[in-house]
Parts: sequence; C-alpha cells; structure tokens
Amino acid sequence: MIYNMMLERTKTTPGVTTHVEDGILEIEGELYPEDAVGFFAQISDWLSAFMAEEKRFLTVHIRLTYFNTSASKCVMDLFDQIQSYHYASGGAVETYWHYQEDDEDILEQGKEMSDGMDMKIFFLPYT
Amino acid sequence: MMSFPDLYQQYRQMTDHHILMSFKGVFAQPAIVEMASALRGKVASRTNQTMVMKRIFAIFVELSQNILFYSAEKEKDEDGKENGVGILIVSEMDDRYCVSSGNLMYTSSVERMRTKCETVSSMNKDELKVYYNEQRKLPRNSESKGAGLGLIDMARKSEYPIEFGFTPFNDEFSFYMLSVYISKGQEK
Repeated sequence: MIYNMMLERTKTTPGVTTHVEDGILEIEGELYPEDAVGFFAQISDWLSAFMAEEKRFLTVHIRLTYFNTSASKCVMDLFDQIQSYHYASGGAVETYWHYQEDDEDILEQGKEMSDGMDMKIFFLPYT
Repeated sequence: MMSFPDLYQQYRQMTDHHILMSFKGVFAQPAIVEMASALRGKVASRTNQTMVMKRIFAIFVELSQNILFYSAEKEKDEDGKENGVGILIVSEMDDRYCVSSGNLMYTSSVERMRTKCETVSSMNKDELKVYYNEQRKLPRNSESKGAGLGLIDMARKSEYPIEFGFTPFNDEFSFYMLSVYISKGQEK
C-alpha cells in the first residue's frame, strides 16, 4: 500500500488527511499560502501514487472556508486530476464539496468549478 | 528637543476617518496573516453578517498579496527573500467598508493595467462571472500567479464597481491605487 499523507492545518493551509485503505482524501481549512502551487504539489503527488498503485475507489472531501484566487486555480487543477482518474477508472471517484450553510461564495465557487466538468460533484452544507 | 512629525495629525485624521487598520511597509506573508486575523476580529465586533466579514477578509488578503507579489518596490528580508512594499487602509463608512491599496508599478505597465481595471469595473455580475471562469482556465504566466483572477474576484465580491487610479511617482514608477467596497447590508 502507498503512504498516507497527514498535513497539519496551519493558518494559511488546510489540514490534509488520507486513509489509503479506505481510499479517502480529506482537505479542510483555509487556503491562502504564499506558494499555493508548492502546497498542492504534495497532494497531487499523493494522488498520482494512489491512482497508479492503488487503482481503487477514491472518495474526496473538500471543506474549505476560504481560498485566494491563486489557490482557486490549484483547486481546479486538483479537480482535473481527480476527473481524469474518474474516467480512466470507470467512475471510481466521489467528490464532496462541503460548505458552511450560509456561505454563498464558497458554494458558488464550487458550483462554477463543477459546471466546467463532466464529473459530478456533491454539495453538502454544514452548520 | 523631541520632534513628532505630523504624528498627532495623522492619528487624529485616521480616527476621524474611521480607519480600522492601516499599514505602510513591507507586505511579507507572516505580517499579512497576522493583520488579516486581527481585521477579522475587528470586523466581527462590528457586524453579525458572516458574508460581510468573509468578503472583507478575502479582499484584504487579495490586495495584500497583490502588493507582496507585484509591487515594483521590493525589500529583501533577512533571508534574502524579496517582498513587495505598499500601503493598505481599511476604513468604515456609513453604509459600507472600504479596502484601499497603493503600490508602485512601472509606468510602462500602467496602460495595460488601466485597461484591465476599466474592463473589470465596467462589467456587471454576470459578465464578471463569465470573464472569471474564462480567465481561470488560462495557464498561469510569469506575471501573475492567479492569471489575473484577483481583480475580477474582488469585483464579484463587491456591490460597487472597483475604483482605481494612477499617479506619476518619478521617471520610472507610477503609484497604483485600488479601492474595493463591501456594503454593510442589513443587520440581522
């Protein structure tokens, strides 16, 4: 089995947790680091390893309360990578976009990203 | 004899103009994070509207990081890393909050920037949405980490057009100013 990833949440980067055995990737927190691309490279590397070696069902949970515009491009790139696995593996991915109930901006951001994709994203409000 | 150049006058003026926060200097990431966090607290004590709070925070971060990355005036920190220099002011008005930033840019880039600002400020919400999603698909370039999304995103978060201006600073540089407003809306 490939490695698990565990990144502690900081003020500007979300916590990232994986459960390889269950095929779960969770990203939760705020996102406005100076180098969003560098931060996302770690997630992208893990995903690549999972896709190449595990080849199993993957569930992705994204629960971001704020991300800057530079990071928003990184989130799009992440979705592209997930989507490529979704189709390559015959639909073995489920992606959940969690948003605070009254946070219309985060919901809208997720919807707009989802609009540009063929893969379905599930939207889940929390209080 | 001690000398306090305009210090009281500046304090008085800022108080009278309801300045919630102001900073002129190096916009290094750790400083931005601390100021953003303090600003969130300040705004939270003034409004119970989550979206007002979140949008002011977002605009503050976006404008601060714009200065960090794109100001033509740079200073090196202890580790030799370059950070942008500029000024940022958050103020409270009767019906809205205002976040204003200013920094130097090369005069040779002013016309391109002005065109971009004019484009964004002339668009309505639907046009901004289309423009934003078009731009987000473009690859990053060396000039912009977010492919120029910041300006569009701030305009989308605001109920008012962005305001901008340029003024000559010296032979090489101009001072670029940008203001973004967030409506106070109706208190719950």
